[in-house]
Amino acid sequence: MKLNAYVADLFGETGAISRFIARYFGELFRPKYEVRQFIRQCYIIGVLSLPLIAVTGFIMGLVLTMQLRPSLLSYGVEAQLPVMVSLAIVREIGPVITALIFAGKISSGIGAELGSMKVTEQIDAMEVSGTNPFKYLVVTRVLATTMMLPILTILSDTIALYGSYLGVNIKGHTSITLYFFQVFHALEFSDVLPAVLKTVFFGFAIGLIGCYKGYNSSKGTEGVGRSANAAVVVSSLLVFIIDLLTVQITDLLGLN
Amino acid sequence: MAADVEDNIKQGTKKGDVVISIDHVTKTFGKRNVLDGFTIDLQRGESLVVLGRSGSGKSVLIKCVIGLYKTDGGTIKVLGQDIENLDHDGLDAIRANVGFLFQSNALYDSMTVRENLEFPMRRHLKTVSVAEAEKRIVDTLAHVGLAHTIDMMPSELSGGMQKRIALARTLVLNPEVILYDEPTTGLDPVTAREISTLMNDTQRLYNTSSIIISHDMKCVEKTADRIAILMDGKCYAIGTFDQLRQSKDEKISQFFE
Repeated sequence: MKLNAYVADLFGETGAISRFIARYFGELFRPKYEVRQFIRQCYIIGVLSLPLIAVTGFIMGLVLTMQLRPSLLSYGVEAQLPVMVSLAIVREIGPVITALIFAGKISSGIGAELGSMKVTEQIDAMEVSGTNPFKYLVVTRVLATTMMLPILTILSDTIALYGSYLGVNIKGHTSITLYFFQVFHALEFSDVLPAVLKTVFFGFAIGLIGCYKGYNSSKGTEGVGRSANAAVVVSSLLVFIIDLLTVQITDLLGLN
Repeated sequence: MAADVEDNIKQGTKKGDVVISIDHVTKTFGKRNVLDGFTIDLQRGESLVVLGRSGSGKSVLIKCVIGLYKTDGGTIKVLGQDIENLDHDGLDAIRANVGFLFQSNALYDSMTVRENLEFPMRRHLKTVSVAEAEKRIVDTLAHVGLAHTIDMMPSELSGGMQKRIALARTLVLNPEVILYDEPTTGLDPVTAREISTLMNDTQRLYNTSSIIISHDMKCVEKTADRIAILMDGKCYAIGTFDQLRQSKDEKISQFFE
């Protein structure tokens, strides 16, 4: 593809996503509300993602602790291990890793599901059945991802800290009371709040891109595969871009 | 507006015999004129087949009728209502009276057969009680001969069964008009014949009028009261099956070879 065509495509896609976002907010506040479908999506997106998020969170905490220990030991500050790990997990690694796992599971799933519905005319059938498909399919899913990811991140962080506690005790002995005393002593409100807030944006981006790619799927089953793939790639990339932006913003606000 | 439309539908459909009026409709995709002044009327109780080559715009035509596509010009009146001038609620009121059988069946994968039939009822007919809804679902499934599939998922059904369930989903609303988009495509000849028979039975029992998009000449012969040939975006010819079959015009006779 020639460069100018690529740039034109990029701007075209950005414009289309912007219109999609504008439509999302327009439909979000306009009655009638698809409450039952929203609750169902919260269950599918949030509750059913919990086992995966819990396992990855636990491994993340355990491995990070085991990797950090030799470095801290060489500086003679092994006692600071809970502090280092908790700050790393809560501020950065927990939200980003959880969001990436979430993007891989949810964004691709939404992209494939809506893409499949599009090419098999289920979205048209929904419209004919007196339902606003955008509100029923897109608004409920994006709202669910936006609300569920912060909750999943908090749970993942907590489980990661338990994993870390286990890691600390593999080559030493620290009581759980002392471990969590050190963790909560090290963490401040300014560590937790921006980290949780950015997951709201991660969740929004992941749900929105999944829905956008699926809702605009074309070219049959090949298009469905492409939608699912593009949903993961773009939403994962957006997680890093949003992370970069939020770090800059919190830095400007003096929260770092 | 929806209430006004419902009243107008009731009055309008009593007055005249034309249930759908398509007048000089144009529809363009990019530089391609898919519909270029297509004109035809559907009479009450009639079964009108629209015949045309692949990509000639047949499906686009009925999607314009149901309001899934906006036309670029001309007017479409469904049950007396100009659909281009209707808002979302007005369109919904029309759609409650016009069933649409999609080519791909478009059954919701994540729902059971019962939920598939419940969905349009819950959306369109808000005053229907749970007992009444259940009765309608059971009766409609019995009509299409698939009462035993009520708790099955669409993925557990064959193509022919899915087609019948999709028809049941349109019938559950007791529509005045049904739009069929290639109802026998992809089915074996026996199942295709069964579907054609079911369409005729439905027409008779439910007093519906229908527009049928099809290439399947056996289905066309069995179901059509009139046939319109869509060519170059226009209604090239119109007549009964026998009239068109006897035509010497090569463009018409090619469909009957």
